[in-house]
Amino acid sequence: MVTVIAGATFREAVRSRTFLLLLVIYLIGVLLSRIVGWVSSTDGNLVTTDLVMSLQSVIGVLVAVATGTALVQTEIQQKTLYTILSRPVERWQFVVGKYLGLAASLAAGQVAMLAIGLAYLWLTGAHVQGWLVVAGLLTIVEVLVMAAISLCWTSLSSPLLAAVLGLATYALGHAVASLPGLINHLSGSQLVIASVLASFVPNLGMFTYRNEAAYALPIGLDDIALRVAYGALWITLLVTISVGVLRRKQL
Amino acid sequence: MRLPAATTLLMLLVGAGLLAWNGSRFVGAQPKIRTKDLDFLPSPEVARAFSLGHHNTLAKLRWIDSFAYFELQLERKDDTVSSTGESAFERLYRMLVGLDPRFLPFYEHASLNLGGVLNRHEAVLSLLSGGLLTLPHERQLWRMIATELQVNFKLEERNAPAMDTFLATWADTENDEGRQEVWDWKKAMARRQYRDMAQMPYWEEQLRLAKPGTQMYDFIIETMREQLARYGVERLTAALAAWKRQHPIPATALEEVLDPAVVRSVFPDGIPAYAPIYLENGVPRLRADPFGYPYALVDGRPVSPGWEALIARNQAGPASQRLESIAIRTGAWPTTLDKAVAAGVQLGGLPPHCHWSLSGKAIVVEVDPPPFPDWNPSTQ
Repeated sequence: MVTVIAGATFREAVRSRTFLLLLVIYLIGVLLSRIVGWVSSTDGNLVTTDLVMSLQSVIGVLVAVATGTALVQTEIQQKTLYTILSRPVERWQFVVGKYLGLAASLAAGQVAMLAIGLAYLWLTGAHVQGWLVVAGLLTIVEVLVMAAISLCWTSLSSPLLAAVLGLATYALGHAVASLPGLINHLSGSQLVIASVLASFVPNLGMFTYRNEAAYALPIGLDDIALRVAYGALWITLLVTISVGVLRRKQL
Repeated sequence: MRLPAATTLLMLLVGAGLLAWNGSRFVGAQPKIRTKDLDFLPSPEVARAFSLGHHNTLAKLRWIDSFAYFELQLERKDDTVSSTGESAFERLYRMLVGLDPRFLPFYEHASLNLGGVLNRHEAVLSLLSGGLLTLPHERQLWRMIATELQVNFKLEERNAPAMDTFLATWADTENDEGRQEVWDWKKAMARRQYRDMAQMPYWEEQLRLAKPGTQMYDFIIETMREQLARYGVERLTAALAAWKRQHPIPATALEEVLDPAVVRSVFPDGIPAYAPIYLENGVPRLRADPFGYPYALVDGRPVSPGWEALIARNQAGPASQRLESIAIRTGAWPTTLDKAVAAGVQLGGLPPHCHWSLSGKAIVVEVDPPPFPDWNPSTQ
């Protein structure tokens, strides 16, 4: 049943015009990135590469937050959820199925963006190397974690508030990556409190290999596996929380 | 869903109008220098937190935006953050290299703006040295630091051994091609520090530190040979002039000028080491040049054939480049030297013991083997 719901969600997302429109917006962004490269007083290749890799992440995260917050809420507002739950479908199956469908569509969109971005870089003479693909794949994990965060927030609040909280979590998630460098002057209980609080936030810095990939700095397979596992654990936790909240919800 | 024709027409007209309106701003627009102050200069750590994982992108966009501040500083040259009085450029570049320490243009611009425009060389040196922590093998960084130390800190004048140590550290990080550049620095340094044969102790010391069999070792030997040959020719020219003053008939061979009176006038304090002349049982003798060829008298002037061969070899590079350009133009490589000359490769005159030769796709200068062992520290 999970796969049926996931498949339906995936098809619905991929067929929607929004999906295509986002790719078009990404494409425009990618084309414009070369202009920034031109004004940089260098050959522009590194500047363009950074921008293209960042665009994949930024647009991916915005889409993940927008769709993740609307995922279950739309079904409730349109009352389609009642039709689904009147059948022999557990609430956890519904939530997990919806998330997997969304994750698959987001991943498909991300792969398309990565392919377009790398092809553009290659066509414009930038040095395209395999590490950029690895960086793109880790960005996909970041986007999937953001979708899970949005899903979790929407199960606890309204879609609008969930979107705001989702973006705030994104900012916090990257801020905690820099936190060890910022709190080094703290000591004793202050350091413990800051470290404990920061540990409650997913460290999205784990997925930002793009900064190193632009310079072809290698990353080990074990490191990649560790980062993917870290993302998978957060996704599992957040989807489980969403399931738990939805189970207790009076619909 | 089909739109009514009138709606479609209205959309197209308004769309085209807006496009033309937007585009008109660019038609006939004159280039305008953009100037503005720097107002967002957080510490590197805070900037990192703000960048949301896009360190490189944020750094580069901030950098591009700062070009306007550069234009402003060309006029004002005050460079301060209004609130604290600190150098805005220094804070800017510290932030940029904190975000993206591998992007070389940040260091180049820091060197230009902080050093070239504002004369803040301590700050430049600090930034460049910091860059070496991330990019220890980046030749351009080493080159910029060497220039700063040489030109602005006068380190060579104030503390030549310290400059030497810096160059040795640089050489350790380099490949063969890069080491050549470090050696050129050393060579220039030796020439500035010491005149003529006063350089020899410096190169002897360099030779003592170098490992035999390495390119560095060979380079030092070659440099010493060149110095010795230059000195030999200069002393023999002086001897020839002294001979002319005492003899109305011009000398036909260098051996003729080895008159004890002439030798005494050229070396009034005794014959020094490395001189082209030595005493054998009190009789002056001519030494072979440091490359193993006898010094010769050509057109009334003393020459070192080995040194001439060294100079002649340098002509091969341009000739080979010419050969390559001919091959690209005609689509075929000349198979003999005569065909290469006929195709347009110009070959200059060479000393008698040097010959042009075609080796594959390169023109080389072949040199007859020296009749005597060439100079090296063990035979000195």
